[in-house]
Amino acid sequence: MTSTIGQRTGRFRPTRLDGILLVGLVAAAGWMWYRSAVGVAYRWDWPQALSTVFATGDAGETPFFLTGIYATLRLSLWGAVLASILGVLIGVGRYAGGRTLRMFCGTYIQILRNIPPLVFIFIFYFFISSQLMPLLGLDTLFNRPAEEASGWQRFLFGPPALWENLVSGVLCISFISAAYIAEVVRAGLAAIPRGQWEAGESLGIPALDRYRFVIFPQALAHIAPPLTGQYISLVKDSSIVSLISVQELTFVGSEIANSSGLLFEVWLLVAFVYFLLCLSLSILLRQVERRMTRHFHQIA
Amino acid sequence: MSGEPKPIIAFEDVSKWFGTFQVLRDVDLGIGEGECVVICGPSGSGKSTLIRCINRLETHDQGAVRVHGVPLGPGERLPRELRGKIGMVFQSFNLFPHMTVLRNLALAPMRNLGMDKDKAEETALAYLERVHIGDQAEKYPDQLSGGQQQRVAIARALCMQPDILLFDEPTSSLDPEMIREVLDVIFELTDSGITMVCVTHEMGFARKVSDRVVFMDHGEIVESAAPDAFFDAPREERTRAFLNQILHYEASA
Ligand SMILES: Nc1ncnc2c1ncn2[C@@H]1O[C@H](COP(=O)(O)OP(=O)(O)OP(=O)(O)O)[C@@H](O)[C@H]1O
Ligand SMILES: [Mg+2]
Repeated sequence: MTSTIGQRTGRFRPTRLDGILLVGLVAAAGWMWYRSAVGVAYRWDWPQALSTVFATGDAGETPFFLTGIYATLRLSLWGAVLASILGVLIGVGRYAGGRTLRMFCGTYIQILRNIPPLVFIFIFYFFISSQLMPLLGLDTLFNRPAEEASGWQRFLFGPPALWENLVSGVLCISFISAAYIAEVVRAGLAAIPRGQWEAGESLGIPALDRYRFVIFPQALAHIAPPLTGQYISLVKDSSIVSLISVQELTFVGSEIANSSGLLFEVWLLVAFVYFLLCLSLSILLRQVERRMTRHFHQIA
Repeated sequence: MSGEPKPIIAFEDVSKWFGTFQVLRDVDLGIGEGECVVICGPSGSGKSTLIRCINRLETHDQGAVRVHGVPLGPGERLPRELRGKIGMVFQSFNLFPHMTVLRNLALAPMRNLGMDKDKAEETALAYLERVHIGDQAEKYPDQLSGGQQQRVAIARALCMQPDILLFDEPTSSLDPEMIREVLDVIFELTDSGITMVCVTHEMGFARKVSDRVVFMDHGEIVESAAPDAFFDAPREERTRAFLNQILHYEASA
C-alpha cells in the first residue's frame, strides 16, 4: 500500500496567474496601509499589551493569559482523547453493527453534524450539564477541597476549582468532534476491500482479532490524514466553549481585551497563539503519520 | 447424484435469491470425504455463490446445507466448531498486504487454534516449503509474483489444517505462465485427504485432477459426472454447447 500524503511533484514554477495574484495582493496591502494611515485612529500600544497579558497576579499567580493557554491545551488533549474513543466506537458501530446500533450511530452522527456547534453547546450546557451533573452527583465529585489534588492531577487537569468547568468543555468538544471522527473511521473501514474480511473470516480468525490485526492496521492508512485535520479543527473549535464560560484562551483573551481596551493587540496575540498551536500540531502529526505509513508493513 | 457413502458436504434443495434474481435453483449435491470436485459453467451461473454457501460467506434462502453432518439452515452462519475447518482460496488471493508472508500464514493458527508464535511459524514454514516458496517467508505480498502470491494463499489456508478446501477460480487472475505452478500445487494436494471443491475453467486440469465434474448453468446443476464421461460423452445439450465453446477457445488460444 502506498500513501500519497504530502507529496508534491516538481518545483514551484510561477505562472501568469501567480504574477497577477501577487500584484493584486501588493496593491491591496498598499491601499489598506494608506487608508489606515490617514483614516483609522487606532493607537497601537504593543508594550502595554504585552505587559498586561503577561502580568503575574498580585500574589504571584500564573498570568491569566497563560492559564488560558494551558486550559486550551488541556481541553484539546482530553477532548481529542475522548473524541477518538467515542469516534472509533461510533464509527465501528455505524459500519459493522446490527440494524439498531447502526441506526443509533447514524442518528448521532447526523444530529451532531447538522446543528451548529454553538447551538449544540448551549443546549448541552444548559439542559444537560447543569441538570444532569448535579443529578448524578458529579458536581460533588469536583467540588472537593483543593488541597486533595496531587501535583500530577493539577498538571493534567488544571486547578481543581475549574475541573467542572473543564469537564463541561471537554464533553462539548468531544461529542461534536466524535461525530466527524466516526465518519472518518467508517469511511476508512469501508475502504478496505471485501476480500480482506472474507479471507479473515474463512481462516476462522475471531471477529475482534480480525479488526485488530487485519482491518484496523490497513484502515489506519486511510484514516490518518483526515484524522489529522480533525484534530486541528478540534483545537480551533475549542474556542467556542468560551461561550459557556470555560476559561480557555478565547475566554481569557476576551476578558483581557475588554478590561484593557487593547482590543487589536490582544486578539492578534490570541490568534497568534492558536496559529502556533495548530501549526506545531500539524507538523507533529505529519511526522507521526509519515512514520506510521513508512513502517506500515510492520504495524500489525 | 450423491452416490458417495459419506458426504462431508451436502446440498439439499438449496435455493438462493439476490433480490428477485434467483442465483441457485433447487441445488442437490453431495460431496464425499476426500473427493475432489470441479465446478464449471458460464459466467454468472452461480458457481461462486454455490461454494461460498459451503463456508457461509453467503447464506442460502431455502433448503439445507450440511457440512460434516452439521445442518445449516437458511441465513445461518458457520457455527464455531466449523470455523477455520473450511479453507478458501480466492481469485484475487486476498493476502494481508501489511504482513510478511510468514505472518500471513501464522496469524490464524495463533488466533484461532491458540498456537504459540514459534510453533505457528514453524508450521507456516513447513507449508511454505510444501508450495515451494520456503525462501519467500520474510517478503511482503506485493513483492511476489501472482503465482507466488496464490501459492502463499494456498499455504495460508493449509496452515489451519482444514478438512475442506474451496477454490474460486484460483488461476483466473494469473498471467498464463504462472497458471501451471499454481495448478501443480493444487494437484499435489489431491492425495492429502482434504476434500476439495474447485471452480475453474481449466478443463485439462479438471480432467487430470478431479473425481467429478459438475456443470452449472443459470443456478442449476445441469450435469455431474466422472471427468472421462463428462468430457467424452456429455449427456446434456447445454453441457456440450459449453464444452464446445470452452475447448474451442482453448484450442485457438
Ligand atoms: N451480492 C450480490 N448481489 C446481487 N447479485 C449478485 C451478488 N453476487 C452475485 N450476484 C449475481 O448472481 C449471479 C451469480 O453470481 P456468481 O458470482 O455466483 O456467478 P459465477 O458463476 O461465479 O460467475 P463468474 O464466472 O463470473 O465468477 C451473477 O449474475 C451475479 O451478478
Ligand atoms: Mg465466480
